[in-house]
Amino acid sequence: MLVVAHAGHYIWVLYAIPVAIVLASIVRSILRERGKEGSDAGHTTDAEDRDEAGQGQADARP
Amino acid sequence: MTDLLSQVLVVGHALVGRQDLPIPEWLFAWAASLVLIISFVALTLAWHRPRFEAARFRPLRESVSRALLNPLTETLAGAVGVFLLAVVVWSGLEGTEAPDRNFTVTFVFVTFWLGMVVASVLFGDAFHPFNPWRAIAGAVGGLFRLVAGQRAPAPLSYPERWGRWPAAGGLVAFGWLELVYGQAGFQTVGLTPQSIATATLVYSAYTFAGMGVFGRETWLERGETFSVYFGMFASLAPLAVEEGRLGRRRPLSGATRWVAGIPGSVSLVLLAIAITTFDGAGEGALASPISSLAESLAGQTPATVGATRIANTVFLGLTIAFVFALFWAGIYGMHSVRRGDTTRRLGERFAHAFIPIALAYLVAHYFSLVLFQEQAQFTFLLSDPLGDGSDIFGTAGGGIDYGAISANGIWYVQVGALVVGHVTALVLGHDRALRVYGDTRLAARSQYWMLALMVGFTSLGLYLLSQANG
Repeated sequence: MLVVAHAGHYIWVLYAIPVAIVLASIVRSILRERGKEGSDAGHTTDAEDRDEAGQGQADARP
Repeated sequence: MTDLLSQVLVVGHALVGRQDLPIPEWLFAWAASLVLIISFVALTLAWHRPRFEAARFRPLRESVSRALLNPLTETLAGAVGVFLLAVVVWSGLEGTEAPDRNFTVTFVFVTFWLGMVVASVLFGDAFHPFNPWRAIAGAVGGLFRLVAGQRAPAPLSYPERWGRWPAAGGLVAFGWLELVYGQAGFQTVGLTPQSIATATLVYSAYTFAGMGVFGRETWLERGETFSVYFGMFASLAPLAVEEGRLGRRRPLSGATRWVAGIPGSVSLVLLAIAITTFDGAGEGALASPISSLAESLAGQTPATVGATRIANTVFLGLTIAFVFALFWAGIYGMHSVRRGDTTRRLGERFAHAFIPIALAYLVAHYFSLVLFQEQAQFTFLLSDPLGDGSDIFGTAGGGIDYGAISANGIWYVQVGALVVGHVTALVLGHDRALRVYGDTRLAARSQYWMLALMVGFTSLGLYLLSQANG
């Protein structure tokens, strides 16, 4: 009963929920984009490595 | 303000509690947030180039400009301003001490402070021609020219680093006067018509000193609180004066150039939001903490007026700090998208987007106060400014029709104002982001944080209104 009687004091939580959802979505979205950028960068490095290796092989050819 | 007036006007934001709303009040916050999210997605998908950055000022016909902007109209408008200033001081000093029957209280805090914001947003810098201090300084300067045969030079040049800080300081002082000094507590009304008249005289002396030292136009542009404050809202208007010509421009476009790297501008925008926030919170969400602090400071219940003022000062400071922290946290988040600009510079670049929020907060919090009190202003307060029983225009018997709008109607206006204000802010933010980041994808990413700020300010505004009106 005491909890119910003081429920009005916590009504702000209902107003904070949309903010929390938006913030969570932003964090998730940023982490995902950073992860994607990281993996893109990783692919680029691999490709560059392959190019460099290829170039090296080419240079080694007689 | 409503704390002061509510004792005598019985009207805070609504007279009676709302009834039979189709959904709970908190669900309006969810719906408003949804509108903002949809607007954000729509902007990202369909808005690919800045539209508000270019001025696109189109002068009206020369004859229209000349008819509205000439020495005669300037003199007349200035005379009206000086007359109203004189009435404020006269009725404040000579009139009744009852704030609801004295012209001064309603005129200063409702007609002038709130009405001039509406006029500025609709018609541009409406206060400029009516500014009584400018008119008096102009007359004195004209007299000097006549006698000395030359213009009176400003003794000092205005320090650039001061920017708009004097105006921001004045805004805090005005907010403190109405919300803290005027806070009645449980004992007495602190802000009487007499004290408002005295404050007006003190501010007039301060303004004349500022204009005398730094020059009239310089002080009006940077230091005079009301000119700068109303000018900030006028930057949203579709009308403006440039190089002496009246003209049209794209609504909101003036705001993109208002901050312009001038120190103190960002703080001025945030202070405008924070002061309204505190007024709303003081009636609801913060009412209990404020009275608890005041009672513990006074060591008695009810608290003394002095303790109440200290407690209100503390919470006004905390509210300002909260709004500033919210803004700078959002800007810092935006900074993480690309580290080209400093956080401070980014804040200056995006602060103009918060001017519509300051306007939305004002409309949401004071719409009903203006609606009801202007009925008093233009009936019995006009005919009987001193409250001594006179009837100059035959309207002294008029009253306030509190049934002019229902409590639910007021709530819908409040929700609508907050949603429109924040969507407008999102548009301005997105538009600026396209300019700053050049790339639509980066611009959209930077505006994630702006979206969070908008949802935060919308939910905060609706929460405060629901608590104040509940």
